Amino acid sequence: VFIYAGLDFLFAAVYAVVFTRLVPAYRLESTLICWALVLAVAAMGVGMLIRGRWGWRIAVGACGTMLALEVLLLALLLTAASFLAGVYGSFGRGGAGMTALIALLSIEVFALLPALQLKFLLTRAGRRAMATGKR
Amino acid sequence: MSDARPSALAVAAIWVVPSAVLLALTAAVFSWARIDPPERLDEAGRTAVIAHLRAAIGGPPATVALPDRRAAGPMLVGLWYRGDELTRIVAEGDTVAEQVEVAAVRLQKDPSVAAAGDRLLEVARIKVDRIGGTGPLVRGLPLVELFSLHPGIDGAVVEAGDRTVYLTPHDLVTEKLLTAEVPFKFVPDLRFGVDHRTMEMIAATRAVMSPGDWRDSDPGWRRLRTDAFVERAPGDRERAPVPLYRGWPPRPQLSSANLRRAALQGAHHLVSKVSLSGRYIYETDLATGEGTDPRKRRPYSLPRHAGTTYFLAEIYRITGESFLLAAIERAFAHLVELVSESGCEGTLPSGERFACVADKGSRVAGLGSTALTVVALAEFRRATGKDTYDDLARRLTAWILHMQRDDGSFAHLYNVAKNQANQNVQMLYFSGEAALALARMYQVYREPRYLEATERALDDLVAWYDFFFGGFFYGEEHWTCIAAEAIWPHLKHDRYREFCDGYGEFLRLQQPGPSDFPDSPDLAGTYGFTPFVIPNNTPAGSRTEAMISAYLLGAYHGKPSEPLRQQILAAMHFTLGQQISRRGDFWIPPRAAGLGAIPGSPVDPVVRIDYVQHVCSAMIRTAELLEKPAAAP
Repeated sequence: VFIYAGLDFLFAAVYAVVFTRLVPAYRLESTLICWALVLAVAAMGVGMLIRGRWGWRIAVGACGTMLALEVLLLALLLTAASFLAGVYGSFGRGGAGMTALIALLSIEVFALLPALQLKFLLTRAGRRAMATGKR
Repeated sequence: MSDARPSALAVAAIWVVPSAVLLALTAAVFSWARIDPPERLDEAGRTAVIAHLRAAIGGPPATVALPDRRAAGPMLVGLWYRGDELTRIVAEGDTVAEQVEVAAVRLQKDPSVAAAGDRLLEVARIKVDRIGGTGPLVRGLPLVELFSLHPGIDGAVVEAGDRTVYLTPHDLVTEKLLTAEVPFKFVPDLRFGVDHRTMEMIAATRAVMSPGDWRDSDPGWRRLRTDAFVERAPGDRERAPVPLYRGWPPRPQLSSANLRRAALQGAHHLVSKVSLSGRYIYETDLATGEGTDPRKRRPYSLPRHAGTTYFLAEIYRITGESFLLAAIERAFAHLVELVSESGCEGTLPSGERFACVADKGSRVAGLGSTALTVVALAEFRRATGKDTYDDLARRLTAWILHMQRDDGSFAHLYNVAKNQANQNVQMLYFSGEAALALARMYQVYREPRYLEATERALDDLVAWYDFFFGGFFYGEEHWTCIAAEAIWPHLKHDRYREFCDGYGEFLRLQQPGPSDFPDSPDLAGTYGFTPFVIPNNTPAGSRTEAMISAYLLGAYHGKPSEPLRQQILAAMHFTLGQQISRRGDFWIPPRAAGLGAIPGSPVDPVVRIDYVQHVCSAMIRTAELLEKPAAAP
């Protein structure tokens, strides 16, 4: 539980630094998505620390939100790619390769931790560790 | 069992539903953004359309029937005279025949046509754009809007109140709206992206609306695609009108004769750009005819001045065409003048006399300017046997040797006032250019120290990649490979051949084939990355110069590479189609002296001297390659 909580806060800090310093977003929609990712991963950690039934619910909800945001990111990526393919008639091997790379990286960076954490939370061991009272 | 069923369903849903949703989203966006390529008129159809339109402005009566094909959108008919569009007619109609009839009537009534004399109308050329479909034009989304038009293929139409303005794909090229952004400041030549703001201003001007009226009209934009063709120039009108793709006529056939002709046309173009002072008109905008002022210091590049003069000397050596000599001598005279004016001459600590080339008023001399001057002088010596510039070539080479370090690398900049080399700054190309200068000097004068210095320079350039990631990429090494071949047979190291073969393989991966980009078959043979950034023409020339050397080097070693040869031919076939010829020069005013020019890219109307230099040097050398088998000198 504490390992997951530590990782969650670490990821939240890294996302915050990346979104504010390295790749700042210039549009409100992009900024909202970026900060939603930061808040969701931080909420995952908060839930893990609170423990109990409410902690479990917060953590599970935040993990689900992270996965939904990742699906949204993939959808935006594919929308841009299919738009370009429509305008230019093809995407080319270079473009397709770059898109696949970005998609895989985004899964690794944004979806892997919440997916593993959610899987843990839904197991009996996870519920026991979170002291939810359910077996 | 009953517990397992929902779980299996849930697992299946987790995998299938998001994938299905994303797939559906992809398909929906693709079909929303797509404009299918318009059905193009065949030769008979194009001939009939132009014949009927020509008849309307005083040409012979048309005897051929118009195509009765349904029209997907209006027809735009432009009348071009010496680079200016005198008038443009927008003709509606359900079929092509109806549209032509409407356009013919409007042409007859057009005030510009009425004001033009018969002679002018005879010389003018009719251009037709049949709109084949429209699609959404995304604006206001950063990054996406930069790529929202396929450059040279898509035009735009805007409806503002009761006005409709059509901007053809060609309009967007000549207005320079397609290469508006420089994403990487350190690569200023890499430009792409649509300039929507200027496009809007141009549309408002064409609609004759004030900015306020324009805004109030809530203009609605769409992309469009056209089937474009143009009437031939007078004297050649027996042949069918020229179909245009991305504004360009079909490529000429790839043959040594066509390559020779094209290279000489390029040389004619460059000769027309040498001013009386010997300085070139560095850049010319083909759409306006305006060129840079050779009396001004900027914009100018001395390495490009020297490189262009090298090409003129090279093609003189190969063809012996006498029209080249006066221009070459003038360009050399300017370099001699610059050596003297800059004060970059004197005596080295060894007692040897030296000189270097620096521009007027510049306190810094670059290695590239001097190196390429040496390359040009050596080429002139090879071509003419004249010893006019021997002393200068030796003094310049003494300075290059002075700039070389013990490990074979070079200092790239030199403070003329302090007589001091800058050991900290490294520039692109300069070391390769210096290696070629030394190789050519050995080839001409056979001084052993030139050979020894060439070997150290080449070894340093090749050995730079001796680290793990160095096995995955190459920089711009075209001068390196030209130098490696130039020094054969005096240096026969197989490591040079391996290096250049690897460079060729690396570049081959960036060369699209005819079916790689379905909407861009015209880009086959060039070097590019993705269909979204229209590649520049110059790399197709400069890299081919290197690939010819790489191929020859392989042949000398008894290992000629057929893939490399095909790579060369594909690139040259592409560049043949990128040269301005009479077939497609209707939009270029005569003062641009555009014939033979190679613009920056298929969608860039600007020509710089080195674009022509690199492409035409590659052309003349490829012609030689096709004419005689590669044999070791």
